[in-house]
Amino acid sequence: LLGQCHILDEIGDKLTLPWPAFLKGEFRLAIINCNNSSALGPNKLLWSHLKIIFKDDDCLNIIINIANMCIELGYWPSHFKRSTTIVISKPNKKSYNLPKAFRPIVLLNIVCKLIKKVIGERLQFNITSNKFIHPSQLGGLKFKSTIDAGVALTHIIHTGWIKNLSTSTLAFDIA
Amino acid sequence: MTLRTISSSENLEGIPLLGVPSYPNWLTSARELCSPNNSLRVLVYINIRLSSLCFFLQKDIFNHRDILLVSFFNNNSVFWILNIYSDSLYSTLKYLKNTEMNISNLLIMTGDFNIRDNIWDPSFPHHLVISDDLMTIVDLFNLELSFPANYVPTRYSDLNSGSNSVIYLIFLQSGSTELNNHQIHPDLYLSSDHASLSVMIVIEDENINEVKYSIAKNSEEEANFIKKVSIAIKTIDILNLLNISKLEEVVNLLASSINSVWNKNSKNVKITKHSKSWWNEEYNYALNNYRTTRSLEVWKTFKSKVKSSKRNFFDTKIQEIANERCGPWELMNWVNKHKLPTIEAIKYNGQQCFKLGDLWNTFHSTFNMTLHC
Repeated sequence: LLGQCHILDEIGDKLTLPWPAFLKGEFRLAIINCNNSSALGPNKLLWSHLKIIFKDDDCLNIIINIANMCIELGYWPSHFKRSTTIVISKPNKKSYNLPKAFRPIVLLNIVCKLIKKVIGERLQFNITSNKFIHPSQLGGLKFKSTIDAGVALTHIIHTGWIKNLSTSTLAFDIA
Repeated sequence: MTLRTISSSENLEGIPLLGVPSYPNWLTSARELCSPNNSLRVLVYINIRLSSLCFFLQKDIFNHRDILLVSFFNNNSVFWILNIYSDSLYSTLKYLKNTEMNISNLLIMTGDFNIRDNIWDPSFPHHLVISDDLMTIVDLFNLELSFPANYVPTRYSDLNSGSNSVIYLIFLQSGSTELNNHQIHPDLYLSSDHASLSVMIVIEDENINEVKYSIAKNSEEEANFIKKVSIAIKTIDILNLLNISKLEEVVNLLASSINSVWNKNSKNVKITKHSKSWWNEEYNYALNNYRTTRSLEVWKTFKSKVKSSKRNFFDTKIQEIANERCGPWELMNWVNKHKLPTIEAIKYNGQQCFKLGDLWNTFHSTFNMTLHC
């Protein structure tokens, strides 16, 4: 197999999946669980405001049209990239003269956040339903958690015990 | 600032209370308490309304228990204030003399110098050598001794022996218009043996942003804002949305129309540290009622209403945290001593950050370091 395939070989053309236009239902589903008490971003709108505004189909259609055009043109408008950074002090620190005693948070335009959420949901659905991602990838995926990682690890250890083997674990954090 | 005396120097268990008294409206600038035997003798309080001037404790210049050097910004320049306690052995003055640090823009040096001298105390007949050392330091800092507008002692002896003295001094910038104009308040020494001293130092006008724009939740303005934003979104023309420039134009138009609706409906709100989540319209009415009548009975009714409302609000909050969020340990912070952090400039790569640009670079490189690894 090594003789036939080399790491520097170009990957051949793969079948591309169609990207259908966004639906109103997708947007409404994505907005349901958004926190009403989130801080105000640079576009002065709260999730609670957007929930009321998007009950009106006409308003939602306009935002969907903009989102569809972003995908079609492959362009993310510069206004969506604007953000407000707030530096918050971490509680109960002995001294506040180190930058690590603070945590900056970035407040984004929530219309942009909503479009990103809908795109994220679609990507999650496509990569899991088409099995594009390795089954041992547990981070950043819906319905997967640390418990799954723990269960997988204990399963490996138990399997080793049956075969009279010990298991060593090497854990590392990639930042 | 209202001066208050604490009811006891010990807590209920009989353990002595040590540390810096903290007040919600005042920032405390003090060194950390090392041990009970090494208690603090100098501290600086700064009103939170001046917090935008960025007051920083500068331990890197004078690292001494009895010296507090605090810097602040005014119109892009750094200014300093120096608070000193010099004990009967004059150890702080000796330290300052040996350190030979030159600080420009030092506005005020003040404190208890424990030196009696006929230069500032006409009732004392002698001149001490240590006063010459003090004047050398004062010259080095480009300061001048300020004489009070009212000549009264600053330290009052417990015994009515008449041995009151002037040992608390103020030195101001050389040639400053505030010189020889400070006041001594012998009526404000409470349980201490020192009178309070006050001086007004004028700094350049600075825009201190005390207000922000906001729309109150569940208000008429909020309903109007949502209605107007809906209308603004509907009026956006998306028919010719065929290229990048048109997309940019539409998104910018959306942003500017939301912004103009916000500006019309939001109002100035004063920023305070006082949480008033329990406040409602009823209290506004009750408070206005008191302001017009000025009757004690109305005031008492208002206060009792506020008290019960606060109690109900916090009881509900406690129940919510303990039961619904299942985190009773989070409430432990409520009963602990609330310690305000001392103000010190943020240090990065061994350098203190005094400018907004430096601070931005520090945060940028700290939190984006992983990106470049």
